[in-house]
Amino acid sequence: MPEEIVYGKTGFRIRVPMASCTIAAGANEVLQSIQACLESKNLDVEIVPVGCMGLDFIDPWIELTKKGYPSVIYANVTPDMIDQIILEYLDRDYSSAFAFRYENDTDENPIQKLDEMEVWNNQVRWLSGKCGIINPDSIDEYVTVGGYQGLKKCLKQDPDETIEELKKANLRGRGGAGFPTYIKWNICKQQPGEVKYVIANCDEGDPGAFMNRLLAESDPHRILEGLIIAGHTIGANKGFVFVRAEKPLAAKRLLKAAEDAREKGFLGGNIMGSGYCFDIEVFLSAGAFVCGEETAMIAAIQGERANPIQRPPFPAVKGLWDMPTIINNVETLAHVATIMTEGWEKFAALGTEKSKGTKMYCVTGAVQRTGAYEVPVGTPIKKLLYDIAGGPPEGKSIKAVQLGGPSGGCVPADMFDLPMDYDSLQSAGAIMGSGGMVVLDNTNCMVDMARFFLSFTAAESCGKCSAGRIGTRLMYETLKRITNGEGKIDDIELLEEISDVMQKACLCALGRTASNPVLTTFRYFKQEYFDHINNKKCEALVCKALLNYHVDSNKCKGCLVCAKSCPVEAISGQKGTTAKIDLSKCIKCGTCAEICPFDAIQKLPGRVPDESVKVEEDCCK
Amino acid sequence: MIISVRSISYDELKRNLSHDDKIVLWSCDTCVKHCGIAGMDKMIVLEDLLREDGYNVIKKELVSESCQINLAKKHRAAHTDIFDQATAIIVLTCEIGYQCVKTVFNDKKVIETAKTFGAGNFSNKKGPILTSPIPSTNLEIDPEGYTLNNLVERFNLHPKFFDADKEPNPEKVTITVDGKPLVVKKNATLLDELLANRMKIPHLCYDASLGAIGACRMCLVKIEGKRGFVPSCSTIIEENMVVTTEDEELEELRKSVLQMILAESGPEIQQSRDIRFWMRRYKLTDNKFYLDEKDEPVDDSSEVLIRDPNRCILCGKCVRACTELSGQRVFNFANRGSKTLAITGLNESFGNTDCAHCLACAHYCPTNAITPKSINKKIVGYPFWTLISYPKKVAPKR
Ligand SMILES: Cc1cc2nc3c(=O)[nH]c(=O)nc-3n(C[C@H](O)[C@H](O)[C@H](O)COP(=O)(O)O)c2cc1C
Ligand code: FES
Repeated sequence: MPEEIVYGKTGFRIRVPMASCTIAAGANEVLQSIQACLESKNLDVEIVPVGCMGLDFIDPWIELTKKGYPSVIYANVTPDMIDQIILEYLDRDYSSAFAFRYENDTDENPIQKLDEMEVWNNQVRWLSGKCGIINPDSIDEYVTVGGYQGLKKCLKQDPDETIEELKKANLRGRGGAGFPTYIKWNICKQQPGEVKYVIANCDEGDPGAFMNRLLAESDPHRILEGLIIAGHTIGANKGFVFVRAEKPLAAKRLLKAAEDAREKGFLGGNIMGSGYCFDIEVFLSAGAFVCGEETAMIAAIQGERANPIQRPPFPAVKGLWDMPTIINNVETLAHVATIMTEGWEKFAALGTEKSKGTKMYCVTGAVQRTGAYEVPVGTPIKKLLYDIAGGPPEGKSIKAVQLGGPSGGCVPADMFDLPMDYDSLQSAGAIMGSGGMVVLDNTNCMVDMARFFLSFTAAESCGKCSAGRIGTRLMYETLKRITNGEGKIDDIELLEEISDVMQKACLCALGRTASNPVLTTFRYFKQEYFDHINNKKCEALVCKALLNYHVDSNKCKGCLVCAKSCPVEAISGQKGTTAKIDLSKCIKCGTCAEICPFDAIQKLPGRVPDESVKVEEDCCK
Repeated sequence: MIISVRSISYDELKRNLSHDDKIVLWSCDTCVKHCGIAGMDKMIVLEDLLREDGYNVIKKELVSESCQINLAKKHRAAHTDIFDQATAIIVLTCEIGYQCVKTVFNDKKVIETAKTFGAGNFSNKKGPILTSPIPSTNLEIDPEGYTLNNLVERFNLHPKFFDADKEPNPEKVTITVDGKPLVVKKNATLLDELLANRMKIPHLCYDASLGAIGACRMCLVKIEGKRGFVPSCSTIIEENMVVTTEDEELEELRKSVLQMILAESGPEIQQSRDIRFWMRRYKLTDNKFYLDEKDEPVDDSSEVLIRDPNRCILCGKCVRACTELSGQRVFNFANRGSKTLAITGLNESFGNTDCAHCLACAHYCPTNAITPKSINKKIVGYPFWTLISYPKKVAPKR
């Protein structure tokens, strides 16, 4: 990393991550506290707002870097820790620090380096390497770390050479389907006509995915650079970045980046003296999952209702305002910029035979270290979930991971050796998707998860085609019945049948893939469905209709805290005797179990609580 | 309805045109259509004829009711870019429609094609019948009424449409359908050609006048070399295409989609013509899918139309008819996903909207979710205009 980036003008920089995730964790307050501290101590330190480096489990973190000192990262910082941290740092006491940032950071009081940590050294930060280090609002910093060099090179060469390099790199789209980028660009380039468009897809609507937002908030120029290269390659003069209005910070950073790029001559007329003209518009979408679909996105930009239309014609032939248009995921475009800067050879050296390079994944749910991680394509699931994300929290075990959001599927724990590349995942019934990974443990019910995803697609589809609109609703209502304990054994066949119709008849990929969460849970967790349907039992104790709360008379001291907390007054009893839950009133909110100081209230599976309670008591005697 | 007959021959029409003209075909979609001399299909025929003879047709404009001058104005405003280029407009409308177009396009050559005789009605056996001739025709009021043929003979006019004068001969290609070769029009929509060749393909959201959106998923076929199932309404014919329109898998799929549509809507839609036809054909008596029945209030606030949302299958025909044929945009979609609705105005009552009462929505609605109030509500199941029954004999004048 260049010195001017690491230390800045003053020789002492404090980095504070200002991304949506870190701000939610309290980075704003930390920033204010740092400002106050520096003022009171009269220190000449430059505070650098940076993006997020993906380690969400240490949010908010800060990094102190002074010439002559190592770069030190502090984790889970609160405003009241700041004084102490700065004092200790200047004293070369790093006992409360998280890690040294760089490999060559050494000191008389050494601590662990980021590179020695599993969460870091198992990653290959090809794309996200600058996230959390450079100031996303500073075009100069981006240029200092090699930014816009790829564009410079592409502007000088024939567009066919650019396509050839992408072909050699074998970059496949990161938006989900994995379509080779060079083919898409080539088709569009070969279309006749002067007017063409490029669109960066930063809609990212699937639950559990946030790598596109992270990239846009942390390194927005990389996306723009990729977009300009795309425009130059296919011969477009206008581009759009399609961002959800729900990602206001990402939109703001992209807007600022575009403004700065225009000012520095990377956007607008005669880019870098090449004679090529290109400008972009940041398009704020009202936000619906279906907007991520290419034709729906085009309709939205045209000011219409975001309904997908039948393909072909593909957008590369007839897209925005009927002109040839390419749509790429922002991660794909960032890859393009990095490939053009660093060379395709380095990219192609990563990944598998069929799918090259790296992919960012967002790991959330039942792991110790949630975050956004970048690994080579083809990395086994196990490595990501255990080595990087640290495996399940104590006392829990991972049951499965849901990959690719609502269009994806789950992969059970015994298949975690599966390499994450497009083809392997497809064969397992899941998809790479945009990269969201929701990790599920034994407290997650797979039927309930499938129900959740179908409720999502039923609500977030466009509602245009009958198979998609009615199919998702039928599936959702059937799953709801099952989780309510009203399922019938025929429901399994019914779900399979609806899924078959949707896969064949739906207009767009949303409907065609919406049943994947159900199909994969059938494949790997059918027993849970049988449990719900035949035994009226939810092993994971999630489905409310299939569980009951029960007071353990051995543990209950009769304090009646539970009775006071119950919102529906379902608990009665006298001080000193075992409390009693009136199950006819109980709404199963779980407040009593949470508040009980003696852990005396438990969830028990099954619908007929009294029987199960009796059995237990009999056993004890 | 208004009764009109073609007043000029194809040769006369050509004499009015020059090869430099940029021609717009303009057609009304109501009475004259039922007189057999207008409508989208007739415009396509005329376009084929003119193209063959080297004329330049730049647009076909279908208007729900061309006799409403407001609608004519809106159509011009919606496509000023193309209309401004046009030099000649051939109007397939009644004389009143012609007057409106002439007024709106007073800067252009507007060519009239029909003579109007007065009001009448439509008989399923005899077709359009003139019952109330306008005085200028000097026709007696005849209790039997006058058929179109009567009028053609009596006034020495031209029978039927321009293709009666000269057969159009558009470019054809051969495709294979269900194993047999079929000669079809080049670059046409696959569904149109299949239907034209008397094949039965279910289709609820497509109409040649409204274009394709591929929403109902009933018209799916298999095409060699294309993945999965493709809606024939959204497929343009390519030479040597190999199409399967009927096999067990397709039938099962269409049946399932139909059952889904039936599950979502109220039971009343089973009485509408298309739905009933396909239910019978597929021998559907019960539904494997179940959803709670819709129970929305019927909107009868409009003076002219009744709208029953429980019969709506969201095919979007009313939305397109209102937007494209009338130019009013009274109908639209609201919400998304399984909560999607067709609404009037900004989700207000029908009576509150600036509906032009052109009835295009009702005409195209495949499930009678929108019907004119003048129609006896008990007779359901047929598009309303085929229902309009007229007294066989007009009572003799006293
Ligand atoms: C329902 C649906 C939602 C989608 N959402 C996104 C999204 O949020 N972001 C994205 O990049 N691609 C999304 N896609 C995929 C895009 O349609 C498209 O394939 C992709 O942007 C192409 O870019 P790529 O070639 O770079 O992958 C979605 C597709 C569907 C069917
Ligand atoms: S007619 Fe083709 S999808 Fe409805």
